[in-house]
Amino acid sequence: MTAAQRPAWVVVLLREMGMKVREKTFRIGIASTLILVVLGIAALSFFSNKTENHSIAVIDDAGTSVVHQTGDLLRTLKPDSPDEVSVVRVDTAAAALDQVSDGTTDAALVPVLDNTGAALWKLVGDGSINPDLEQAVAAVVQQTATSSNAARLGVNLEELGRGSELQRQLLSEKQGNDGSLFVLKFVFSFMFVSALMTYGLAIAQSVVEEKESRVVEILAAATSVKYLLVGKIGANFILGFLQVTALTTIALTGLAFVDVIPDLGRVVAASGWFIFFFVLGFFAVSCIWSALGSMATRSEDLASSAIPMQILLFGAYFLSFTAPEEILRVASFVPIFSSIAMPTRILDGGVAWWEPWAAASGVVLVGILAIRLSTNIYLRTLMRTNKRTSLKEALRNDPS
Amino acid sequence: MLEYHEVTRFYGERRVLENVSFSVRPGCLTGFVGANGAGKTTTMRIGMGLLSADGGYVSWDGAPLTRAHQRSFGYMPEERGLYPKQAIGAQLRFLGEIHGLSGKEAVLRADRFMDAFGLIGRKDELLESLSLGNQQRVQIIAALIHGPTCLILDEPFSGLDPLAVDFMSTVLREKAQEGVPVLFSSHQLELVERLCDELVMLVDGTIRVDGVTIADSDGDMPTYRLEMAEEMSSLKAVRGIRILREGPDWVEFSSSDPGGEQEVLSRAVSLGAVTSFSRVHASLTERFLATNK
Repeated sequence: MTAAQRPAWVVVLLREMGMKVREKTFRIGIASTLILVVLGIAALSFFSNKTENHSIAVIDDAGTSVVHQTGDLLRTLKPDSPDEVSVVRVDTAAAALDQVSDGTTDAALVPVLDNTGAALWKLVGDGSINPDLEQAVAAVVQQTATSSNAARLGVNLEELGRGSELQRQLLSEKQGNDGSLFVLKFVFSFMFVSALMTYGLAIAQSVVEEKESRVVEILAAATSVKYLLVGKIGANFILGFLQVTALTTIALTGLAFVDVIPDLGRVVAASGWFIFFFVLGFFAVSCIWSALGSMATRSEDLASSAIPMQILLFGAYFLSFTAPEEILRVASFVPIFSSIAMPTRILDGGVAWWEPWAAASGVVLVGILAIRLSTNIYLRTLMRTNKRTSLKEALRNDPS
Repeated sequence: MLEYHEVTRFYGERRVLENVSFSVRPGCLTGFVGANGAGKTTTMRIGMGLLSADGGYVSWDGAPLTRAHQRSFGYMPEERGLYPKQAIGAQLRFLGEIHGLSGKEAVLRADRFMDAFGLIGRKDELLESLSLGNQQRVQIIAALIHGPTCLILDEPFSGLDPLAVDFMSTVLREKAQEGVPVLFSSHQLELVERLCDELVMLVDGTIRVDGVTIADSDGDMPTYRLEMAEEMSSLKAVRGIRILREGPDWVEFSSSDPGGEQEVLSRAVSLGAVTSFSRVHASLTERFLATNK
């Protein structure tokens, strides 16, 4: 053995990776997943409220003061992404209305008198007025009027306002099922499932290809079949891991950039869990895929062998969106399903610290069983190149 | 030397090989013939360690065959056994490395073989884009790249045109001359007859003909052909003579007594002008058909 000689599984791994990255379908797959992630982020930023800047035309200092107080109020209501207001000072009410009608400002705040002769504020928009802005201006105007009226009537303002405050508390840590969270789950789960489908199927295809062309006989004569399996799973795992990690990084960078997720820290943590469960789930799933490949003789057979696996993966995928809370909770402990369901629940919040680890232990356990079972099936069925092997035959204790 | 010792193999209840014993000697081309389903491929796979024997064993130079021995063998599976969608240069390098060569050595050897086999200009082409003959050249390089100690080739000549057959024959001859035992199966019996030093015939999982040198393979009862214009019926009286076939001016006979054919010849010369007298070698095809009836 020379120094430059590589172990057989590394030789297999390098060939698998090399062949894969040269494949056109592989490149198209990566590109389309990337596009979907970018579209997902775009959709997310579309669904969420974007920061807006409202310009308001005023004609006097009182108007300016109301607008400034409105700005303060907006900052208190939405500290993460407050809407901004800016003042445009003009000389007359007519000029202020002109500003609105020619689109220079979004609105105008002008003083008017009502039929009793009392001074009022009037907010003027062109086609529409932003409801958030209108609410905030109304609150400021009311506050200002109340305090000046209280002073005029000699009423203690604090006494007047006593008991009017509404306190707010949420019992659950769970985030409401809003649009942005849904899109997040969609993007993460899609990346995960598409990686498992792409690379899992690639393992199965690679196994069938070698059986179909009978090159497997040369390989099995030259080295141990176990190394072939390890090389294939390793190569596809590395590619799958790189893909999911890269896409997650892109997605998170994109999310940070569009700045729409109020609690990005938890998203980062959840994506860590997604990758963690991906690593565990991948080994279990890829062993099953390789066994499916070794049970088929031709690529055509693989299509029918692969259907249950595809149903399982897509089932897990759709379950993570549609299942009621209790079913999702159960699924998050069922191996393979848990690979999507558990990170989804973590993203939703309200998961006890031990739950991900319990689910992970289940996946590891099933992974170990699957590896043993699949290696067994692989070894037993590899030479059966004449027909599809039934599961019963594959498991029978007849080494051939 | 590769030796099979009473190898038996079952597929489920069915016995596909029964006490198969034969040897493949160094420096010899051993032809392996038999009808479809006779058990040739199973026998070869057992030799390569791809299947296990249910009874008996295979030895290499007198000691039981190990995986390490088998890994040093060169093998060509039935039909084509390479990656259709990989460039042949990269593919041969991979197979060299799988057989334990360093990457550098594998590239060096692959290039040398491709050069010798006229494929060096096509090293970046996919296997499937090559003609069948060229694919088979790549296939034989795959079996030779690691410098095998023994060659086991399942149907190396199937589907090849006469030029490719000639090329493959030359390569196998050269390897045999280097002292490598070569076992190959074929249905092309004329080719086996022409090429092989020794013959193994398998009929329904049992050996019928083993280690027979092709030249004198018709055994104890040689056949002779006599041609002359005169009436030959009186020749039948010679003791131990059996007429196998006859025509108006020729006869083919066998003689169970040594020297019987000389008696026939001298009587024939006394009858008239003998135009031809020769020993007839039964063709392998004839013997194959007779054995497999």
